[in-house]
Amino acid sequence: MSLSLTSITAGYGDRMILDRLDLDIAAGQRISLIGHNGAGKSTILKAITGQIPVKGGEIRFDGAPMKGLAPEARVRHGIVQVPAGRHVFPQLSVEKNLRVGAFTRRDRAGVEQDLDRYMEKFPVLRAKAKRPAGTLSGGEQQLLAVARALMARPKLLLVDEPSLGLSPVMVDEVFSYLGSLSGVSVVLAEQNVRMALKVTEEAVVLSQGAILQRMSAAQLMQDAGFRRSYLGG
Amino acid sequence: MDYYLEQLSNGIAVGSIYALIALGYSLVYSILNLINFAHGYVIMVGAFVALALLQAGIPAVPAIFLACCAGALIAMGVERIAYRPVRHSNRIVPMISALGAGLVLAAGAQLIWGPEVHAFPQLIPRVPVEIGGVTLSSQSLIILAISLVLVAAASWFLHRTRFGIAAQCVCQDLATAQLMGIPVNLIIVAVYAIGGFLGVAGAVLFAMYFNAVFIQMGLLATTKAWAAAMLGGIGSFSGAFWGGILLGLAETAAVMTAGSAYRDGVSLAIIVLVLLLKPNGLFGAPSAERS
Repeated sequence: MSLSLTSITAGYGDRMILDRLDLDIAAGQRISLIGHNGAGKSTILKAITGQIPVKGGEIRFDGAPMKGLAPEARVRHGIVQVPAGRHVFPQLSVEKNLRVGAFTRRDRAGVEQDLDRYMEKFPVLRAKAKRPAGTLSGGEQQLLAVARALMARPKLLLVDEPSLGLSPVMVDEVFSYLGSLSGVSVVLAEQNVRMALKVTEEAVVLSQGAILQRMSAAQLMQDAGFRRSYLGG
Repeated sequence: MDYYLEQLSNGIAVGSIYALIALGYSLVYSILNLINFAHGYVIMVGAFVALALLQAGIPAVPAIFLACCAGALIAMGVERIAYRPVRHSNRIVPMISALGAGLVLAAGAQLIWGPEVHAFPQLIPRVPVEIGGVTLSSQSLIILAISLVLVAAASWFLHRTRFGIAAQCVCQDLATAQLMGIPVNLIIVAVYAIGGFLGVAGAVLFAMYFNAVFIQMGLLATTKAWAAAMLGGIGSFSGAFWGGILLGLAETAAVMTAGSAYRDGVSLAIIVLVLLLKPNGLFGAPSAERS
């Protein structure tokens, strides 16, 4: 897997958020996007998934140009996003939510195996398998949303603000799981900088739609200027 | 006593027709998130097509099946022309566009078939049937049976097939469905087609039951589908079904107590009352917040 964004300009309507942004992600990398509200974290994710059109520049995934591909077509290439605010299908059962995650797959046996695997990993999903997903707690829904995305066997997993509205205990569970994933590249857009840096090796610091810094998470934690701006000293 | 039981069975039969009409309406509503004014007009045209095919001498079953297919095609056309281009616009735009599509269909149908009320062939025998000492109308029973079979088939499709579950996802959360790799445009077209197909089946049964096909059936059908869907909880399949049945019963009760002039007012009263008192409907799932 390789993802390259070259000189990307994108935004909403006439308002451009990203201005000629370059970003490369290699196989197996886990990267945090760090930045204040409006810095462009979610916009980058939406440009990668195709939820917003890219006005300039080029996105290539495994060498293939993504221009003009709808989000559902990009899923088939292996790009899957866990949306901010979880967005489980509220009236579908937990199990059906997981199966929908595997919508693009044709290997039935593999899907059953994965279903079992994630229910094993998160016993609460097995216990509530037949309940409508809308009845789960916020944290449970977040686990479901992550597991649902993984059911697609993505090559690249994009995760948008997973800590949003979760209790500290659930934040720990979700992040430690994200940190334990292997065989998939992860891009994490997150306000909770400490948690994000704990589970990713690298971090990209964004401000006003441009990249200020890209360095290892450990290095960034030592950076006095960064700590002042993003961690409160 | 017999009289009340017979009225009850008639109410349920009419209600099952409304359920058929409301199902497609409700599914489409949950995608558009707005009133699909065109729905009733689409199925009104379908009923006229059925009438034309029957008059051309085509046997009943293929004629009605073809009319249902025509309804599906028209609904797909309406989606392509009147909705898809404005789907991402302000909420009010698709509603106006839907109303426009409905008016175009009404005007077109009036050009072809004229403004008068046409009688519809009575294909279903109307004889008294005695069941357990109670006399019921064979027509009501057959209508109910046909409706239930179609509703059951649609329910199976929607809840048990991969495609149907994907359709539910699109109805519940379009943007996220897309992120799951679901081809939303294809699904939306299919939902419109299913709504048109079932709706025409309902409209044909409606035409037989009331022995009439007319242009204003369009608005009437939209209103009844709207009331039934609202009553049961918009976007919910079982809600639309039970909402339809209840609407049929409420209308029958109104006709029995106040007279047949009040039949069509019932649905309007229900719309107002549900909006005021129980916006999620009687059986509606707790509404999923849309952000």
